[in-house]
Amino acid sequence: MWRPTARLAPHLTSAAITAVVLAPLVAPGYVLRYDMVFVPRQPLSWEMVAPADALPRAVPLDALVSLANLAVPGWLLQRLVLVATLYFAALGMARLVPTERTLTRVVGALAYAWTPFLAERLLLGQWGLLLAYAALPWLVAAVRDVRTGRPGALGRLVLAAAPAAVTPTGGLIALATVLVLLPTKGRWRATVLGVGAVAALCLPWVVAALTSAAGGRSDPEGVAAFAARAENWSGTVGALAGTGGIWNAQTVPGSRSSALVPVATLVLLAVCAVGFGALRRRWPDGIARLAWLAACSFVLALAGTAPGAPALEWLVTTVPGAGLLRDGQKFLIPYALLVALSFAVGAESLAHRLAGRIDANAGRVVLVAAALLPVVILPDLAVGAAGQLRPVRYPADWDAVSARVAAAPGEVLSLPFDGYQRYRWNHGQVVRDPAPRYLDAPVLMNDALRVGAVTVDGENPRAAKVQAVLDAGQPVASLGVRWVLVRAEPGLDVPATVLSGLRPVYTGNYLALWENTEITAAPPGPGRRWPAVGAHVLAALVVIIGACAVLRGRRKP
Amino acid sequence: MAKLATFIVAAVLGAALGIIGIFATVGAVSPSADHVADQSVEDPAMTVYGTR
Repeated sequence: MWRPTARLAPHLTSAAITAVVLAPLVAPGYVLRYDMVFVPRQPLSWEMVAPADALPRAVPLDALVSLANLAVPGWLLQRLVLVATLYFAALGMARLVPTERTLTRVVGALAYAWTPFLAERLLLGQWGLLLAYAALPWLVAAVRDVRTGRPGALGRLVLAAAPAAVTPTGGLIALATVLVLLPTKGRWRATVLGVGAVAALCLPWVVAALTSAAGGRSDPEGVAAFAARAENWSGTVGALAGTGGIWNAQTVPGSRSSALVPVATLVLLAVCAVGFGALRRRWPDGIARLAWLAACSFVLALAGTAPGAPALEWLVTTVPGAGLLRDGQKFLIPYALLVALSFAVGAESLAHRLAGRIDANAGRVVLVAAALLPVVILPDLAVGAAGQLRPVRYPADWDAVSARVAAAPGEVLSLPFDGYQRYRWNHGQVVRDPAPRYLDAPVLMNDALRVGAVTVDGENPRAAKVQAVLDAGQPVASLGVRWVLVRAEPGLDVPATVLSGLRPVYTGNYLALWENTEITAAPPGPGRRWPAVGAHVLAALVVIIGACAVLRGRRKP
Repeated sequence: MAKLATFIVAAVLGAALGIIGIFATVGAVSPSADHVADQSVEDPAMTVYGTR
């Protein structure tokens, strides 16, 4: 029977959440915050496919953005990506909730798409990670379908895992989800195919990491710097229990410090406890595994704090690639999914009991209250996190500099030598240096990160060499870079000795470009990056095969 | 009787949500001392990835 309300309500709820959160993006320009950098047209370079000297933190994400930029301008691409992330996160959860009741789906959508985790990671600009957040409900639904043998489910699993696997963290979460939830007796072929496909989607960043010259071991100081932190009197565990607790105090919505937030979190968890029992009856073969996955993600989120910190410090200094575990709160996604799922079902159970004792309206009141609870706890996610997502325009200097570099390609050194900058034209908001994305040339950037008074060393050996040259006040011309890009703003003077031997070719209000005329060679070609190219092609083939499988499944009666 | 009970449920839940919402909004518009301290030392030349 056609039930328009039941069909449309999840879509309308998802659209409403998206519109309310991203409202400021109707203004022209680019939202530039921390790791979120979009430019008018991002060139596709070898550095995007496999960084030569840095760890592949945005592989294959950057290459995909560059490809999409061929068809869609950067400002539109940013809006499409952010809108799709919020919309599909809410819709995915609304569809995943095992219920016949529309209002319960609405509760699930709000409980998953209006969370501290989403707000904090959005304010940190980690939209790649949020793609994994949006994809996870779809991935869990696809895994459930594979286990029950629904046609086309394996293809849907691949398509759901693909957006998650565009970053290493998202790829690991997707792989762990499939490894834990998928294995089924009698369906070993589907299990092997599913796990193999998701592993293949992770190959681009795995191979890029193996071929990079960056050391895989990380600075142990990053463990404390990026550990989960308390947001109110409930401590770190309380913050994480409410899906908050990000390491950076600058990206925490102000409402998280409210004295009543822990109380509201307790209420939320109490409803979850009610819902967990009901979920075990509705999804008997999967919920225990999901709970196990969520528990592991919670433990990982806590790992950087005492007493797990020494073990994690040993791990990041010993095991190549283990530095990925330093910011453990980002792995909280499966926990956030279980909380939203059990909260929606728990609210429905309570509503059902109350409807039995009083009347149906009383039950509806409970569900409406449950739907509003996430919004009431976190009111400052609305309107671009209370105005923090503000589009700005790039100064014309960026186009001028980009044109000059494109005319004579060569490696660029960006000064001041900080990976993250605070530009006047961006309201003083910290953002990753746009140079590697704006300029059609490899850009030598500092991958050391300053967290308060602590500097967490990076893994790029060339960046360390540049820092040593700068610290000694020696000319950067000796580093062999073709261009030196300098911020030309008051208070940011670069010592004359550092720029000696270079010729100024452009000076604007915000940027200056200096040329090293002794370097004329073009930047190196693909070199040892061919294995990474092969991994990208293989991942693309897996996605295409997955899409074909979905289409085939739909054609079957 | 059922209508009165429903009204009471709605009133109790509405009041609870209202109080939580007011506290959360006050927290949102009145940043903690940590936030104020962060902003007061803001310097364009001093770029940090974040603070704890």
